[in-house]
Amino acid sequence: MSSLRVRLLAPILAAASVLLAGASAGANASATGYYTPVQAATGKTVFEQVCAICHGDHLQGKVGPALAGKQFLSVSQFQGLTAWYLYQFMSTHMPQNAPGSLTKAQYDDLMAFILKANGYPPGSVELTGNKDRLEALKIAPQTSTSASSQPAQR
Amino acid sequence: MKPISKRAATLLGTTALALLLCFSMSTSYAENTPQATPAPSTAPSSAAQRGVSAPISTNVDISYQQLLGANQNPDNWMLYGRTYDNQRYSPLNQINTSNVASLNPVAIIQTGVVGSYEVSPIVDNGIMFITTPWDHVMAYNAATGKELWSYTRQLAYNTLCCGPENRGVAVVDGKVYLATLDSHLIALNAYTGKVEWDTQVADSRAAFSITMAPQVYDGKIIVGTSGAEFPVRDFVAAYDGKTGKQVWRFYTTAEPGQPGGDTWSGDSWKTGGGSMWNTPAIDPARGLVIFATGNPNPDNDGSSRLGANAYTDSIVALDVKTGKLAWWYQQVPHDVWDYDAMAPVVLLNVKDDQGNEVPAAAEAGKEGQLFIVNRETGKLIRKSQPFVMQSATMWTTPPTDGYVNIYPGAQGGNEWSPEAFSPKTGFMYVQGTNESWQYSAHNDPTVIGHLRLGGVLQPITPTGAIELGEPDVGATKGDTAGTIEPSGTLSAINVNNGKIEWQYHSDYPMLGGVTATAGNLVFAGEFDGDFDAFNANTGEKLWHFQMGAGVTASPVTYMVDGRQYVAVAAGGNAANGNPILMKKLGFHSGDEIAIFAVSPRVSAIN
Repeated sequence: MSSLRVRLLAPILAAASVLLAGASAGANASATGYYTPVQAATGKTVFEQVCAICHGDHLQGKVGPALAGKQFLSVSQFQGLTAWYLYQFMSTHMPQNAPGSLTKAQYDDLMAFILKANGYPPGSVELTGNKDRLEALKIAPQTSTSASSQPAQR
Repeated sequence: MKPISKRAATLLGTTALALLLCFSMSTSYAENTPQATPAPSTAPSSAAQRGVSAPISTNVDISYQQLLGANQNPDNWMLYGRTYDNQRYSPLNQINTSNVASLNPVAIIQTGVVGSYEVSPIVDNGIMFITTPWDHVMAYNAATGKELWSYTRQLAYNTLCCGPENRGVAVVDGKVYLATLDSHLIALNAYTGKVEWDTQVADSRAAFSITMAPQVYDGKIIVGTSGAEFPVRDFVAAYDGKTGKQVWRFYTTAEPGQPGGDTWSGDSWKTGGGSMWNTPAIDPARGLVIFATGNPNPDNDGSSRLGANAYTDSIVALDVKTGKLAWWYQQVPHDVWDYDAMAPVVLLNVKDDQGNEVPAAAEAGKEGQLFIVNRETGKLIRKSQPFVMQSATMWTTPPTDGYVNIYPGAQGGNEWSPEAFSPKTGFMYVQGTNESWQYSAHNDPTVIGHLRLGGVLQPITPTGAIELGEPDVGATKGDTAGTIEPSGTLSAINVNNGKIEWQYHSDYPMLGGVTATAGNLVFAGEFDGDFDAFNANTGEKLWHFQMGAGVTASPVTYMVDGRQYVAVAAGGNAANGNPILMKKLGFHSGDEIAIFAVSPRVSAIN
């Protein structure tokens, strides 16, 4: 009898823990959850094919400006840049030899990759080029708190 | 209409190489005492400055007093415009119309820094000081071209509208003064090239930059900021030459309460632009510093800045001690075509319409005419005939729902290129560009440190747009109605009646600057690599030398050991749509400074 109760309880507990995890992600929405890991991975591939030639393999800048790093973040902070500014500029003017020619999904993925390269943590919510959401995300040097600094859960 | 940025072409067109620092001892060199000026100082401080192993052992202590007498010092070119008048006229006549055909290079400098050169060298006592793209400073033996010292700055963040050029240094009081792309003012020891002080003029994160050669007068270093393609409020400032502390600052957009303060709607003056691109003239007798100012911001879209927008696109005079406004004359009120006044202002005497000689100030601007004003009152005396073609569509407000093709465009007319005035001929010599540009207006967002052109402006020919380094990008054949092929001019303008007395036509835009001499010669370079000498009276081309890269920098002439030299840099110019023109020519950017003298060609070596 007790084993049946445990077996019935397990999925309920599992569902509850997922709900709790979802709730905690929502509570940290200002620090996490701007893109998914899959988006960032796909974005990396697009970046290497289309963007790295001007912006550098490590986004350090070559002919085109740096898109990551200390100076990029501190200057962007001074200039009050948001992720929406970057996204809009990129999707309208880039790549330079064929502005606006990539698909929306590719621009979303590229934005995810750039955020990842700048230390913004991933989450479960996809980046969809939403103006309000991206305008709320300021480009600035990141503080060190993130999910990865928490003790691993068994 | 896809907005296209001016910077894109420059990003493609310029490259930079790392510079290896090379120090070498200068060979012993006989001092060439300047005539009719006080003897050079041999005070202990000079010796201490030089040190035992300083790269320069020749005396290059120029005093502020000596600069006042620059016109009586024909051997040297000690100021950007040779004298405080910015006339770029040399009394030297050893090289003249009868022997210029035998002018040949006697030394070639390759600086190692490839890119667009705009420098006007300073030469004193046989030492030449120059700048390269990306703000390197070098000192050379002005007769042999041997490098004596070099200085490389680690530039901080900078964002530029128009390329990493620099137009030169100022040398006074044992120091070399450099203004930088990241908006700093640096004082270097003239003997060693080591930094003595470093002052931030403006915040380059907001897209301020400086490309001009500083002016130096009365213990003060005067510079002005660029950046009016971005939402900035530009200014001119004076700094103490010994300490680098700011002495005064003058903003080039008028604010409420100032004269002209009622010519900006709302708060638009706060980000109204007004670059000061070039080295000011000084009128010591009247205590004035006189300069020209650039475009209001946003460039193409005037809807948020109603009014004449003082003091943009103007010739401006300030009290040089205090920086207080004396007068201004606006060439283009409420500019929406990027018609900067950005060439050096030249001081000269002209006859007014009653035939009386009056003290004047003149500037040849982007809109294609030489403006001459009374420099006591700022009132216009006359405008010259246009020295470039002007389309019927000129002065059409760029539409928000289409485009307009006009000429001249944002490369002018005359852009930054220094004019020369010969008191012998009475002519002002001015280069010019014939080039059509396409304009449209758009309400661009305001982001600090980011372009806010207020629309699109790009050079365009009958084949299509030449922005972005590729023809036919951004414009279809139908969009090219009313456009022209680019070309250039060098005009001799009679300052007493504004008429063009002669005009030379070049296949490409002409820029870089002109120099006139008492040998009845006018020197100017061409985009296709030819460095030319013309008869100053008639315009007949008497000599040319192919330098292998665009000669689009400012020539100078000087004497060392009794021999007259002419020197000019050639690195091409990759701003605006010029990279495509360079590609057509099969040209690249370069890194050369050539030193010429009259000498027979060496035809055989045993």
